Amino acid sequence: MNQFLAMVAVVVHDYDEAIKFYTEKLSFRLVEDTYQPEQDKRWVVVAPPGTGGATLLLARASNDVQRASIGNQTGGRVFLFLHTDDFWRDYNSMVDKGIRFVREPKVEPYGTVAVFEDLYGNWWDFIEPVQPHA
Amino acid sequence: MVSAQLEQFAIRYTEAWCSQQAALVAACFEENGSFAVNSGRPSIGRRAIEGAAQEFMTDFPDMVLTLDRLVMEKAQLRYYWTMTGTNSGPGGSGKSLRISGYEVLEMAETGLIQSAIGHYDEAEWARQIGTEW
Repeated sequence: MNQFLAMVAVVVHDYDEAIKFYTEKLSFRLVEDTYQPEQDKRWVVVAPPGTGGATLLLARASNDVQRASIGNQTGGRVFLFLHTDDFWRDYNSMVDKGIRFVREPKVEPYGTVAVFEDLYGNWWDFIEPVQPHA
Repeated sequence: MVSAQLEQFAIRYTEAWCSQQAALVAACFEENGSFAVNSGRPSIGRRAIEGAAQEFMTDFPDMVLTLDRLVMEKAQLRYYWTMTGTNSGPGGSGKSLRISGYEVLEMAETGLIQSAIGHYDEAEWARQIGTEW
C-alpha cells in the first residue's frame, strides 16, 4: 500500500487575501487557482517553497459554521507544522515581513522551534528538525 | 509537420517569456491550463502559471528565450528552447546562464496551451549559476 497525505484544507474568509498572505508573507507558491463552475467555487492550492510534502487547500467558508471555524480549526492547539532547512534565515525573513510569533524560538532536543500565527490566527509550529546522525 | 498557426503561436509564446511580463506567458494557456518543470509540482490555472513564470523573470531579469525549433516527435508537440540570462534577482549569484531544454505542449482546441511540461538539466542549471544541486 502506498498512501501519503496530499492536502489539508484551511478555511479562509477570502481567497485573494489568503493567497496574498501565504505567497507574500510566507513565500509559499500558488500551485493552483481554477474556477469550479459546478460548485461556483475556486480551487486554490498553495505549497511551501520546497519540493514534496502536503499542500494547503484554501477553502472559502460558505456558511456560519465554517466561518466560525476560521482561525480555530483545532480549538486553540497548534494546527500545522512547517519544517525548514534553515530556521534563522526563514525566521528573520518572516519577522521582517510582519509575521507574529506567539512563542519565541527555542532549541529543543528535536530541533529549533517557534510558533507563529497566520492571518486568521491559526497556530503553526515552525521547526528546523535536528538532522539524524549518519 | 507543424502548422503555420502553431509556429505563429510558438513565436508569441517565446516573446511572452522574453517580455518580463508573466501575465503574457499565462495568457498563452487555457484558463485551467497547467505548466510543470521536470518532476516539479505543476502550476494549474493562469494565476498560478503567472506566478511560476514570474519566478523565472525575477531570478533572471534579463532573460531571453530563443525558440530553437518546434517539432512533432512521437506524436508530441515539442518546443525546443535556449534560455540565456543573468541570475541577478534577489539573492541571486550574479552568474550567467545559458541552457537548452524543451517543453512538451498539449494544445487545446482554442489554440492555447492546455499543458506544458518543461524539461532541462537541473544539475547543469545549478552548476552554471553556482547553487547547490
